[in-house]
Amino acid sequence: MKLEETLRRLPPALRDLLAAHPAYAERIAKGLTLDQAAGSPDLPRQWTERADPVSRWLLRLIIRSYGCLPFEESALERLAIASSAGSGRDRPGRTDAPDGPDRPDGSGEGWTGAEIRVAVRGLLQAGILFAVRKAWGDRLLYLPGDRAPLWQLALFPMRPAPLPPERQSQACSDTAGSRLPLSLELFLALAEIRRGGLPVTAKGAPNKARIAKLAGAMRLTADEIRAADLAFARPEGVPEQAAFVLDAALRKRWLRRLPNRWEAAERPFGAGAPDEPDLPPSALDAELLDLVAAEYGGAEAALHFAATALRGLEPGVWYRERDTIPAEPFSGPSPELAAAHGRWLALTAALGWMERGTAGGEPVCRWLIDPRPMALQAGEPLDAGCLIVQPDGEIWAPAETGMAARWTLELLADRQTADQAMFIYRLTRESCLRAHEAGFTLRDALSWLEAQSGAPAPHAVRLSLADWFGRFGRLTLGEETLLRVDDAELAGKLAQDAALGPLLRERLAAGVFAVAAGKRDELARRLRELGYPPAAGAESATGPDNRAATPASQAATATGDGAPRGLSVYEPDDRIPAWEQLFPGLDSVPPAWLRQTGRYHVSTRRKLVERALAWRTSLQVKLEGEERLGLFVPETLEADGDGWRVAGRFRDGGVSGERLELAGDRLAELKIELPGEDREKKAGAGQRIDR
Amino acid sequence: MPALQSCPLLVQSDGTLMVNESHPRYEEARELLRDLAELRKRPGEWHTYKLTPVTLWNAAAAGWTAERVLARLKELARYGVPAALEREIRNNMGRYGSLRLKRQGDELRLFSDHPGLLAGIRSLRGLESCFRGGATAGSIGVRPEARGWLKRELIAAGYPVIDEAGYRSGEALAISMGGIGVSGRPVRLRDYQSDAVEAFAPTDADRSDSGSGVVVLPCGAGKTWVGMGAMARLGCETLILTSNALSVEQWIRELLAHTTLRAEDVGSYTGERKEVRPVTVATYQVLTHRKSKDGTYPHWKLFGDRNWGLIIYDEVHLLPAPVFRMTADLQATRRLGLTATLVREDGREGDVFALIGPKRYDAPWRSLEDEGWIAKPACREVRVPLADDDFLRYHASAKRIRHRIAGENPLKLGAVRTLLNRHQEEQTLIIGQYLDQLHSVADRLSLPVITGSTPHSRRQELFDRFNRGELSVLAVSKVANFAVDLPDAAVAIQLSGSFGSRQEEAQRLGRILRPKSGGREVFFYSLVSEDTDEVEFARRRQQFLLEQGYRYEVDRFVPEGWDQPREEAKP
Repeated sequence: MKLEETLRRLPPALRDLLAAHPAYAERIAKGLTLDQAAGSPDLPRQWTERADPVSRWLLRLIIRSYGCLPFEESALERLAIASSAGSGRDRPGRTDAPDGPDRPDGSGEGWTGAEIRVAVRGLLQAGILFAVRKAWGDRLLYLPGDRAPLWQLALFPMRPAPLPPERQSQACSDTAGSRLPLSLELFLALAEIRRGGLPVTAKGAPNKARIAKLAGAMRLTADEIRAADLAFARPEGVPEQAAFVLDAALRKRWLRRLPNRWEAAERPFGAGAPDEPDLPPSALDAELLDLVAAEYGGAEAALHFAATALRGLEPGVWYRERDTIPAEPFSGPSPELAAAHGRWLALTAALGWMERGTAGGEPVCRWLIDPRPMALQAGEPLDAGCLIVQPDGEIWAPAETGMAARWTLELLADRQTADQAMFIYRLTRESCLRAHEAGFTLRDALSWLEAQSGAPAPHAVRLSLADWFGRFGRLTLGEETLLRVDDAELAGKLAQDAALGPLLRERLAAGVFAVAAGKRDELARRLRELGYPPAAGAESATGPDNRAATPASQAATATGDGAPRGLSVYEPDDRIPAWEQLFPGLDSVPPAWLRQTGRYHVSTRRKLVERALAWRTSLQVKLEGEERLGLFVPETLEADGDGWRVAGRFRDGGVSGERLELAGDRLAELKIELPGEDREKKAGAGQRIDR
Repeated sequence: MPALQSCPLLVQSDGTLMVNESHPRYEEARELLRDLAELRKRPGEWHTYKLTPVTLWNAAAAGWTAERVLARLKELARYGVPAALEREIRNNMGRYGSLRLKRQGDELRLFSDHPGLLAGIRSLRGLESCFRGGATAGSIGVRPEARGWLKRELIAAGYPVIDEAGYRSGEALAISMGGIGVSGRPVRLRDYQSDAVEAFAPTDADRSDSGSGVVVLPCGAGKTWVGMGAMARLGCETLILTSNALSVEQWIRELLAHTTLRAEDVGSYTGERKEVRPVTVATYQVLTHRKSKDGTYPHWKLFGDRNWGLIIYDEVHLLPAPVFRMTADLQATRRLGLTATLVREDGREGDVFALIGPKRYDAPWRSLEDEGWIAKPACREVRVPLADDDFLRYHASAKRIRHRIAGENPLKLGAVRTLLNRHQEEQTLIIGQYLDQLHSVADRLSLPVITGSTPHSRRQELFDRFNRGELSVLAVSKVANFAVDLPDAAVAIQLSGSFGSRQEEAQRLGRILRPKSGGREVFFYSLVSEDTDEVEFARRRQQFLLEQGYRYEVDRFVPEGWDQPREEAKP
């Protein structure tokens, strides 16, 4: 789910709580709305600089392990504890972990479950994580799909060096044939569906011949989509590339499923009104990259991670491919990430966004579009270009031509070629007829061309359009409701009836009248009054097609499109637990156990240790015969003859030591350590909006 | 990729290149494109060029490398150079020079630095008979008679052959330009004509791959002069092939008037006369004449009758298919193609390249017009309504017949009369497709008619009288589409034409393009039946001229006694 939808569904109390968060309050005070504040592109960077180590470490773990997939809190806690405990010793890449931002967070190893839970709570309070509640009460946490890449880029900035300038020009692209970016592939598919329709069978499968034509016209191939191994619905018999493009169009709601056909939205790319920005394909590709990365790449955490890492590269600049493979955050190089990186590179090249090649015998790649998440591109000026209308009737749509203009042009002219740099169209009599049927007049066509080209239409074009449009619309086919009378005498009488006069438009023959528009029912009533009830089979105009279109929202729900992984079907969860709720049974624990270290009877010591284990938190411990207090994280407690022993690790300066076992009587003094305790007390016992 | 508005070139994957003439860096781009690509059209301020294997091979022949080409294109391309095109450029230019045809002693051999390539070529189907003897290191023997065929097939397979086997010199024949022009000064070639001669037969004799090819010049720009210039440059016996007997006579007249050739040096080889002399002018028809469909071509022997050093193909876009076949056997002889347009309605432009040679020179029509070498025409389409009867007949008829009904619209006569009144002082041609119509119009207006059946002497007499100003109007059939020199014709009225032949429209316009004294304007009228398919055919016919930057106006002719036209859709 995206941030915007998440915030829209958020209960007011939680919105208020978010608005009060210092990071948002500061922005709201400067005039931003909550949505704008929460969507601020600089928020992740600022938060990263200020966050406490455990929260930062945990968010990194979430990003790497889940990306924008939802997860259960308990699973996260288990994963975090396992990752935290194992990272100190077991991971072979530990000493090879890259320098930089990984290192400081690495110091947070050995976090306790309690610390994890407190950090989760902090992330919920900060509007970084959100939660939904399933029908049976389970909670799922998630990072909004459009925010996950921003967090990853802030927390895992990857800045490989591009090829040096002198080698940039030596790079040779391997791209086969002429590619189109996904925006234009999608555009062409939608234009074809608008022009030729896409009927579906009784079982809901698209017509084979039509889908084969669509697929055949694409430069994207079935093999390329198959190799990417993405998770999406592929209707039976639909080639992979067509299925993928249609699936994306459904998700964007540019395509609708109706009972007997699939239909392109009337204006999928906006109305093209003068006051409305007309997005060029490059802007649409940025949107689509967000979509593809979140909704297709997002189905696998590793794929999403590799995909997002690439989005930190500069567009248009060649890099060695091996320099762009992300390392495992906590352990360095990883075959899983390398494989995901390879799949994603191949996919983005197939979608016309990335170019791959070789330089000096080494594989290289470069972005052909700006890969940054949309949120980081917001507000940058868009350079929608002009059409070029040629005197010979060709219309050129250069690369920056807006999508809405292109959509209209598909009606008005016949496409001759579709190259990434330029689409070439030609005005023809047939194309003008098509435009006329869509409501264009000659004046509309000329003024649209002039507005889009910023120049008067060439003389020859004006002449041709005047010729063609001059023949359209001069004849009209209509359907009339007729009143037939089987007797001329009766017809004469009816013609004289004053009340019938306004209901009959024209007497077409002795016994035939044309009924005035919309007066059929009134006429029937009057005829009944006169004692001549009309027969039920009276001729009438064919009624409108009553096959109601399924609303897009229903259609979308039926396919599951537009709502990745079904999060939006759940209720938003507004419970941010109070700090005390993180430690069940806190009220029954003697405050002294928490306040200061004390000497206790060995049986009481056991109770302290058991409580710490239940809360999965640490203990401040002074061992018998030692002066220094240490932070001990208990892991297990076992009976030992008449006594008991606890196993765990001391954590010194944030680094866990060896696992050791301590007999109960060795714990001379101890207290339970609860994370966030001081902060919460200072903040006044935390916010409780629990219902 | 971000667009660089400061760059003038739009580069497409298929090699189409667009440049705007008002861009500040236009000249820079045009200079580059002149070397790398061919101009396809320039209907407005945007000009379209095309990179093809042939243009790239030509660029390679002129010393360009793929790297230099790509570097320059990238400097000028607004959206970069698409990867697919980059690869095409590297592939095509990389192939240039990989095969060379040379003479080794008496033997013709195909050389390559890539032995694998020669082996691959030997295995190409249909080429087995071109080779003789075994392959040695880096070369293979070629049968002399297969020289043209081999080159054509290899080019079709994407492998240009640099033909360094040379041409036979032919029998020497001293020719130089001479005589006095209409201005009273000694004749000399115009700059662009000299440039065309130089491009075809460079003074630098080291360019052994040159010496054959095509020169494209607009009608009226003096293609005959380029032919004569080439003959003078090469100084050899020459066979000239042209489209009809009238044109044969015009060539001979020009040769005798403007070169040092004497009458006994020049022969005419047509249906009527069969003179084989050091310079012989023949028609395509006589060469392709045979007694039966399966018979041999008895006049092919003309190619071997003398030791020709040069063959000139006039109106090369009309070259009939059998002549292509003969030309494949004539690769040792220099070949010069002359035309106003490389557009062939049969789409065989590739054969022209392979067998006659690459385009060596091309001057855009509008440039010559701007420089005053050809007249500026005002092109006007005149819409003529159909009378009610004809309108009904038109709609009741089969499609093919409709075109004729529209073309022969009797009301066009009134339009012709009006136009003749408007241009009483100008020499006017009335050109028609249908002979019945042409005769009918000529009878009603008391005009002389020239058609295919008019004896040549009568044709020549009428053309001469027209040129002397004794006749101000001539009605001509499509025999006058080509190669008729009527320098004073200033008005052409096209009564009817082929369905949508772009080259016919250009050729007919060409009849009036000779520059007129005082820079007078010339007028081209095309009469078109309103509300018929002829309007669309006319639009297609006009395409080539629109692409060359010409502009058509549309008028409506209202026959006497008719009401004013219905309200037209107004933009």
